[in-house]
Amino acid sequence: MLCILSALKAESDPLINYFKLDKDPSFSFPVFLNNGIALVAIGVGKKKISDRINSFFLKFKKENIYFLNIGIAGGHSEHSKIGSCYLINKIQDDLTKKSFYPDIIIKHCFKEKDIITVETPISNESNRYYSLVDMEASEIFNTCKNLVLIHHIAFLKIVSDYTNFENQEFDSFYIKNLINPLLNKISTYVFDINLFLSEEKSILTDADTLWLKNISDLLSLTASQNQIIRYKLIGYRLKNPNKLLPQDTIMTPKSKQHQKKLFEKLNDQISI
Amino acid sequence: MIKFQSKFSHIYVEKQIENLPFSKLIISKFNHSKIIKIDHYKDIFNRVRQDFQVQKEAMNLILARKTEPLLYPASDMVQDYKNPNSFYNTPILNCLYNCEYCFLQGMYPSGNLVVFTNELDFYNSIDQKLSMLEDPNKPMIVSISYNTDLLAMENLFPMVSRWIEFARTRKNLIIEIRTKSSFFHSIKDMKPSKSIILSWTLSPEEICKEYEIGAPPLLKRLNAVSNALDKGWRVRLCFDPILLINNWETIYNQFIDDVFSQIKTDKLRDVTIGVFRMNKDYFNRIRKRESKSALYYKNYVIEEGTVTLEKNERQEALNKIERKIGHYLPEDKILMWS
Repeated sequence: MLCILSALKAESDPLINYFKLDKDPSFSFPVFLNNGIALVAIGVGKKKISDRINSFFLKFKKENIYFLNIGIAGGHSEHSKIGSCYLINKIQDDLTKKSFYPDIIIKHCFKEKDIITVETPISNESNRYYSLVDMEASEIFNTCKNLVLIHHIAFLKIVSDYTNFENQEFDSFYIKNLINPLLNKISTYVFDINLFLSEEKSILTDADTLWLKNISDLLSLTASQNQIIRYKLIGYRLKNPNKLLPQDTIMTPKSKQHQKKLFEKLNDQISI
Repeated sequence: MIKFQSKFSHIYVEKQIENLPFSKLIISKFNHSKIIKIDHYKDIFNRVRQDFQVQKEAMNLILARKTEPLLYPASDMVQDYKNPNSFYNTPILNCLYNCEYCFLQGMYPSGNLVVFTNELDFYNSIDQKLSMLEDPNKPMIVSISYNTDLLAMENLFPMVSRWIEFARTRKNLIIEIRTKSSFFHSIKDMKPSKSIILSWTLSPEEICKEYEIGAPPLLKRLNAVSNALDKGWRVRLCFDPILLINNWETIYNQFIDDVFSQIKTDKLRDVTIGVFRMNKDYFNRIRKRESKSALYYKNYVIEEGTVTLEKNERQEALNKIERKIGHYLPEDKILMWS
C-alpha cells in the first residue's frame, strides 16, 4: 500500500481528487483511501506526525506500506525554481543537526535535492539555507524508519516560495495550482512504486501460511520447531513453486511421542 | 518491469576525504552520479532496516576513510590461516557480484559499496606489522580482496595495480588477490611480481550461472587464468565453495578435467578446496531476511560457530574432489578446508 503523507489541506485536495480517495471515518484525523493508495494528513510541523503515522500503521501493518511525503517547501532563488518538484536525497534536521538519507532505488524523472527541516517558518530568504526548507521531513523519516524498510520512504517537494513570504501570494488556490500541473508526473512515480511493491511478495503464499498455522496448532509446536518448519517450508516453496504441501501429517497427535514422530515426518517431507 | 536506478547513481562522500587524490580520481569516473556529502560512512552504511538485496539492484557508492583496525587476522574460514602471519584487510566493503553463497550479505547491513580512499594508511599498517611478525621466518600473507573483488572493479577503482607496486617494494610480504573476474587485462602490462598471488575462484558453469550472479562465465575466467600464468604471475585456483548440487560428482569431475586441460599445471602455485560454510550469525541473518536462495534452507550442522555440511558428507565430497585433482597436481599443492 502506498501511503501519501501531506501537511496542508491545499496539498491533499488535488491528490485526493486525482486518486479518487474516500475518507476513512474510523480515524480521528483525516485519512483517505482507495485501491491500495492512502493519504494521511499529518498537519503542519512535527507535532502530530508520529502519532498519526503510528495510528495509521497500526491499522494497516499487515500491508506492505510505502510512505511518500508530498508537499511544498521553500527554496533559494539561486538554486531552485518555484513550481519545480524535487525528490529528496538528504534530510537534515535543523534543530538536532541529524541527517537522514532516503534510499533512492526506483528510477524517477525528478531532479534531486537535499532539504533542511526547521522548527518555525523562515520568513526572509537567507543564505543559511541553500537547500530546500520544510517543517516535516526529518520527523517523517525519523518516524517511518522504525516502521518500514528505509527504501519504503520517499519525499517529493514542490518549491512554493523563496522563504520570503512578504513577496509571495500564499493561499490554498496558489498551492493547488502548484500541485495540479505535476499530478501526471507524480502519478507515474506512484505507478512505479506500486509495481515495485507488487514484486516484493513473500515467498510463502497465503495458503502456505495457513498450512503452517494449522500444523503449528495441531502439533502444538514450540517456537523453535515453528521456525524450523517455516524455514523448511520456504526452501520447499522455492524449489517447488506449485507443488501441494503434504496433508497426511495434519492430525492431532495421540501422545507426545506421536507428536515427535509427526514432526520428524513432516520435516523429512518438506526438506530439500 | 521494475525500473531500478542505475548502479552508482549516487555517490556518498565523506567530507574528510573528498580532497584526497584517490577520491578525486574515483569521482572523476562518475560524471553522471549525484554527489552527496556525508559526515561518516556509517551514517549510510549502518542504517537500520536496509534491504541488502534491493540495494544490490541499484548499488550506490560510498567513499570513506578507514580507521583502525586496518589489518585483521585471517579468518579460520580460509586455508592459509595456520600461518600466524596471515591477515586480511578491507580496502573495499562489498562486491559488484552477488553470489548466492556469499557471506557478505550476512556480514554487512547494506548492499552498497564502500571504497576506502586513504590507501597510504593501509600500506602503513602493513609496514608496521612487517616489522613485528609473530613468526619472522615465514612471509606475511595479506588477502586484500577477501570482502570484495578488487580486480573486477579495477577499471573503476584502480587499486590492484597500486597494491602490486606496493608489494613489489616490500620484502617478506605476499599479497593475495582473490577474484572471479576476467579483467586480467587491466593489469596485463604490469611486470609480474613474486609477492603477488592471483587467486581465481572457479566453479562449474552450472554453478556460475545459477549461483554466481553477475560474475563472468567459467570460460572467461579460465582465459584470464591462462593469460596470467603465461605472463608469469603466481596463480592459485580456488574450487571453493564446492556446492553439492544434484549430480555434483559428474559435474565437478567434468569441470576439473576441463580446467586442467586448459591450464598449465606446472605453473600453478596451488589449489584450495572447500565446501559451503558460513559463520552462524551471518547465515541466520540471511535466512531471517528470507533469502530467495534455496541454499539457506537445506540441512546443515553447526560446528564451532560455523554452518556447514555434516562432517561425513563434506569429508567424502572433499576426498573425492582431492583425489580427482590429484590426477593433475601433487598432493602438497592441494589445500583443503575440512
